[in-house]
Amino acid sequence: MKKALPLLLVFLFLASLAQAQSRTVRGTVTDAEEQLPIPGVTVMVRGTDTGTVTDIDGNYQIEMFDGDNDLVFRFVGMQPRTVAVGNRDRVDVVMVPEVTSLDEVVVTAYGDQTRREVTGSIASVKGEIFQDLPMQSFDRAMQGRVAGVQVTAGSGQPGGTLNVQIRGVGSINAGTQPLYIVDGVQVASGGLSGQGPQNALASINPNDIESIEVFKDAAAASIYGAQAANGVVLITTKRGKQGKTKVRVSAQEGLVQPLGFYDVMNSNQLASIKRQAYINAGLNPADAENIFGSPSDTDIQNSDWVNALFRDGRLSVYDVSLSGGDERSQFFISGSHTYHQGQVIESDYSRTTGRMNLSHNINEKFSINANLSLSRQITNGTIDRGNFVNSPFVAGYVSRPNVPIYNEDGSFAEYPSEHLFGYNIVQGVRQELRTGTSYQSVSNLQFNYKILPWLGFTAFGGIDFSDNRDENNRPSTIPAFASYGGSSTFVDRRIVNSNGNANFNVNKKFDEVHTLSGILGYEYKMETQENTSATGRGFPNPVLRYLQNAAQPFDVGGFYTEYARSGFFGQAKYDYDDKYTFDLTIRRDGSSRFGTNTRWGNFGAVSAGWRISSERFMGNALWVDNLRVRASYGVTGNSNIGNFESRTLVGSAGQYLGGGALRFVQLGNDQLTWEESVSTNLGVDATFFNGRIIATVDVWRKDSRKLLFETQLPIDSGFGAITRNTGKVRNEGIDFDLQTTNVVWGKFRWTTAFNTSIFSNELLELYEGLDRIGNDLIVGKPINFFYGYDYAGVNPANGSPMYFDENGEYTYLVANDDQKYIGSALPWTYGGLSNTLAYGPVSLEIFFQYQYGNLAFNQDLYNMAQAGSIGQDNQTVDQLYFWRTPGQITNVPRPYEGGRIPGHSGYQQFSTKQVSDGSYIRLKQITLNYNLPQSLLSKARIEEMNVFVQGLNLWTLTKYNGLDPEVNSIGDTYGTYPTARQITAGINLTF
Amino acid sequence: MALFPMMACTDLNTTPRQSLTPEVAFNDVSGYQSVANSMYSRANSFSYYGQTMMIAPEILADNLRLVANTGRYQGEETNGDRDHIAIWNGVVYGGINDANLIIETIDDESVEGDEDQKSFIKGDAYFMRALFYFDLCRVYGYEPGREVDGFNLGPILRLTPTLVASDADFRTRSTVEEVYAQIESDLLAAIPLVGAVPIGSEGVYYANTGAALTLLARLYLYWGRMEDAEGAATSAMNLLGLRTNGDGLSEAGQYVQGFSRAPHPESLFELELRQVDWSSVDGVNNSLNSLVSDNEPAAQFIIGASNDLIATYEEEDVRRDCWRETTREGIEGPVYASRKWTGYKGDFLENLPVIRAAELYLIRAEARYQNNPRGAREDVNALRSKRGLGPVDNLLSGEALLNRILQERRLEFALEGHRFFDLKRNGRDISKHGDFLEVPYTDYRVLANIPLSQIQLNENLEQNPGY
Repeated sequence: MKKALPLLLVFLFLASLAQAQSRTVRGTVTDAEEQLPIPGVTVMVRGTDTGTVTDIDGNYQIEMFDGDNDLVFRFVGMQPRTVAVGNRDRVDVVMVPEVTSLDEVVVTAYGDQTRREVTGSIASVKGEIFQDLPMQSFDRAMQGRVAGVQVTAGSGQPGGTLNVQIRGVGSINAGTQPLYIVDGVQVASGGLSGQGPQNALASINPNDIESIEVFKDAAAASIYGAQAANGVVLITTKRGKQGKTKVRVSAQEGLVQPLGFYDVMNSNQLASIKRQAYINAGLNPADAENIFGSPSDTDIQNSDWVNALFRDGRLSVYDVSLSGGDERSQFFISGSHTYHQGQVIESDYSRTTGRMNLSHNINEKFSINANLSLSRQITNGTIDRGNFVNSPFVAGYVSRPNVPIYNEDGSFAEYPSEHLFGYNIVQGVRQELRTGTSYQSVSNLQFNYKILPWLGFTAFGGIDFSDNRDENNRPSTIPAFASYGGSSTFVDRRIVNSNGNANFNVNKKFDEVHTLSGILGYEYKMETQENTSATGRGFPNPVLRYLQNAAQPFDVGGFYTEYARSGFFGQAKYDYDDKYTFDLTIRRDGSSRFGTNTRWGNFGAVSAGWRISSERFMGNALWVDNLRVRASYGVTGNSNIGNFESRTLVGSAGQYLGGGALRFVQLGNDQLTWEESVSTNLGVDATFFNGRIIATVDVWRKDSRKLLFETQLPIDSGFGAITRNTGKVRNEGIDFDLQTTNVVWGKFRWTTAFNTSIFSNELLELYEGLDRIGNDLIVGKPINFFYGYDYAGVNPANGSPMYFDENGEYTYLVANDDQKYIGSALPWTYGGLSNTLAYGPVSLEIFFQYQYGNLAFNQDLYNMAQAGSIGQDNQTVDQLYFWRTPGQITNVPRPYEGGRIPGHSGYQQFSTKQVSDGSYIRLKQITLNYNLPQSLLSKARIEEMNVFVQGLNLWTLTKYNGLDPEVNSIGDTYGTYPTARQITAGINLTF
Repeated sequence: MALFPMMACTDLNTTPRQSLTPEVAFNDVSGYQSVANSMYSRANSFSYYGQTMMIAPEILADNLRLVANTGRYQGEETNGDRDHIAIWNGVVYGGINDANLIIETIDDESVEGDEDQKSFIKGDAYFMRALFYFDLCRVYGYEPGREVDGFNLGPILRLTPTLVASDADFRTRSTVEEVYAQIESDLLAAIPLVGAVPIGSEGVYYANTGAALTLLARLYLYWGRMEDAEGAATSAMNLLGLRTNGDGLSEAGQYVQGFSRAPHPESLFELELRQVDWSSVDGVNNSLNSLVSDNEPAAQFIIGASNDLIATYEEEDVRRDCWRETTREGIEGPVYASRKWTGYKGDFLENLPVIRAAELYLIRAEARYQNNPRGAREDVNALRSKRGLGPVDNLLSGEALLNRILQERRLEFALEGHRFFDLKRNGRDISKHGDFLEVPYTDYRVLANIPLSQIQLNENLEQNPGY
């Protein structure tokens, strides 16, 4: 990439060659900030190849022909300017520096800093990077864009939640999600609804976001001490700017497509493998034929369940915003609507958002900010990992192809009751109503008062309120629900999550070189959750679904839960001449979740930065714009557990003879306290060649200790576990971020953004000297791994599945001790690579995202690839390569009805057979954008207009043996909703 | 800053509103009644009497066959490796902990309430603890005197409640003999506390004297203490008004319908179930009725009687009517759907009779067969007279008589969870229907395996041989 740089210089030189001319225009180009002339600025006559560069004093002269109107001035690091010349022959131009990442304002905990001053490890993603991408939530925008942040989709369901891990996984049982703060409001992540994974973070329209900052180390995050152990993600929404009101409108429409399908057998194929299974098990093959039909029957019923369930969906996103203001008041107002159909029939998601951000200066001392937002999310249809085998993602593949979906009259056919609980999956998906509707507001109000020029006071109050209504109607037309006349369940949830803080902040410069700043504050946070549910059964008609119509009020439920947290915090920072920076943060927090005497914890961090490039000895290295080293050390906390996990609880346990039952539902631990994470970070920030190369490297270690650990108890005690503070986990790694401008060649510009993280995760310690807990946790191994039997393939002599035993010998029958460590479920590296190619008004962004080095489990194969031996599940076509004759080499054992050959282990063993390499590289995004020429737009009074086409998840390279390595790389994968490919085209206009 | 009232407070006191602290929950006897309810409610679980304990002991032996392959019970039908009964879990041990809590603390002075009510609840706890331990013993251990290679371990024995984490220490397994002694003592403690109730009355929904005596008789029978078994059975029969001629049992004509009545007319101990015990699809997915019967159109009907069982019934035997001949897709020849588990309460729901009076005759017959074959035959005949059958050959004695008694048990309690245990406790090979291979008594698969996670957690816990 760097090779391209000399090329550019050659080009600049060539471009300066003068051509034939008719009149001469002269001028000087100066820098807006330092008011100094800028040498080397490219000056071009717009629409021609005529150009020159400014000399050492910033002067230029250029010849213009008749009809030439505009001059274009370009310089690396400066915003390009286009100036109409008119009749003038002298045009002086002032150039404004482009906001480079070095001077970008980074939003930090309780105030803004420029990146120059930051001593912690902070990464940011600007809103423009993900503007107009058809993604529902901003957490998705971080995927592959931030070094050290691993974002994986828990499911591909539109509106779904994501899994965000900042610098590895430190906790075993406590939550591992970062703390999200939207404009100062600490919002809860996770799902809002029980009828679909509605992402609480999707309530924020990504197009409203100015920037996302990720605080990775303790120095950056510790001001949030409580709860910062998993990192902090700060979201800042857009604010109005002084000036004429800008209106931005964008619209896009597109398609949603499944990424791929399993190839399952047709009726004849299934019949043939089942026939063989019966014969091999000594059963009557005629019995198989009765169920599955004849392998040779050409008139056999062949239902395509998959095709009946999946589809190409529609995707629309509409967005409008207004912003502007005067000296005293600024506003940003926006609205959006997204409609996103799923790849499964009857599944869709829609979201409508509205926002109003206001700022007002009452007088010179007093100002107010208010951010108000409201959103509505509606999810319909199939839910990710819902309904076990009766999910379209399972039943769609395993339903028997020789059973008709529809009767001849078009009504749904009855499915055999002994398979899949007698559930016709197409009927189920069509007729069962699942709807989740959530309203959510993340809003805040902030007062700032300048007591003295160097002393301010801020008071802040924020709320994250959500209200959800779920509805699940199971009509009696579906046979499984007929015995009780159908049922309807309604659930109402309400979450009120509020936080407030007040702080004093100082910032004073002495003797031109000493800057002292600091914050002293107090914070309080409280969250309550309420839930009420009711189920009725026995509806006289399947059309009726409200509880009033239920013959039997069947079940009611409800709960209330709450927690509170409060903390005092202080930060002091000293800066000497922009060269040396020292930062100290201290915080003391209490949480209601812990024992009465152990609920307060102390957290803090120290950090320092040294700008080497400002030292005199670096004076000669002109190519170095900035070089700075940073170091930090600190402790943050985690309290992400159940609200009452420290208490001994006696709770409800059903009923007997109409009397309520109570039992000990939890053993308490009054000593329970904060989980801690100790992190060390060493970083280098560097900018070279006038901002052409910007690099950040961080080497870090994060030790999590006093883990909130659900330590196992022997089940004969009546309890399975108790939460204690014990254990140690280490994550360490390197985050690397590089942004380069590779080529600037006239109108052509090629930039690259690359980031990667290499990390390792290790369990250092358990408790009471244990070196392992079952096959789940082993000291010295990562905390997420696969452990099981080692599948050794099929014995060519007799077609029996074999395993390697403890000693590496072949065996048919595995014993407990034959299980072994298979490999890590955590990748050792992940990252993203984005290339943007622009030629004048046309730009193309190509973005890849990858992870490497993890294994992934494919639970789907459990049922779909067991050599047609167990139950009636349809099989993947590759199972037809089953063992038939002695000597045959194959991986598919001989079919054996029941899957249990005497003296052999059952066919459904968890083994290396279902585990494969989960590494992947995915072409995550391509966007082709065209900015319409100004000349065309100015007549229509349009400031800017562009049209674009874009695609998401277009191509994936992986050895994973399932549908989607991204979704399946986490935990339980049964019935996951796979990711979809999305292709959209759109337009946006700014007036 | 009036706008931020929350900022004034540092209040970190929160209350779990749907749970109680032990001090509040157990300050009067009603709290203990709720814990007793918890024990019974656990026993209803599908992984215990709600399904497993009724079906698995039958299909592990020769009474049942799969008539549709859903994957369920396929391992049990073939006696596959580690396909057994799994009750080393939080249901059974949680129930034991409930019982321990009651026994240990209900007599505290601080507990307010009526003494009679307290002793009744305490009796419930003794009885249920005995039942839980009895089942653990027969699933995980050999009966005393029937050990293979001298392996005599049973469950882990806990008699005090786990109230704090330190109570949950790692223990070793007790011998079956030791646990049996505890069960005996628990039952003897329960008997004076619980009170007698008539057969088939609503009192059988709780522990009662008749049930405790019968369980005691069953314990002695498993233990090989035949005289004690006979004595306990006789006391129970006298108490319950069960005559030597069989009077007191249902008449032959009532046998089948008896299983569709709540409570069952011969019930001595019965678990009561209600619709709210199940979530939305439990009925069709997990109920006994759905798995073994076809009277509901949506029923799964995956398990029927083995042809072997059907062939064992004599022609006039009314118990044969507990099976309805039908056909099943994919099965050649007739299959047999149960009329015992009929879901008579609607939507697959019914009560679970756990101990029935008929067992007393068969316990006593078996206890007598060696020393008093005549008495044994009388007991068998008494039962047969209420099942539409004439007396057995009056020369029957010795091994042949025992076989006859076991066959009578097989027919009487088909699908009620006795068959496997009846073979096992007599040291017999586990016979199978059709082509399935018999499991020799000495085979490791006769005992269930203890969950691997528990073995790994607790170094003191010894796995059963062969696993």
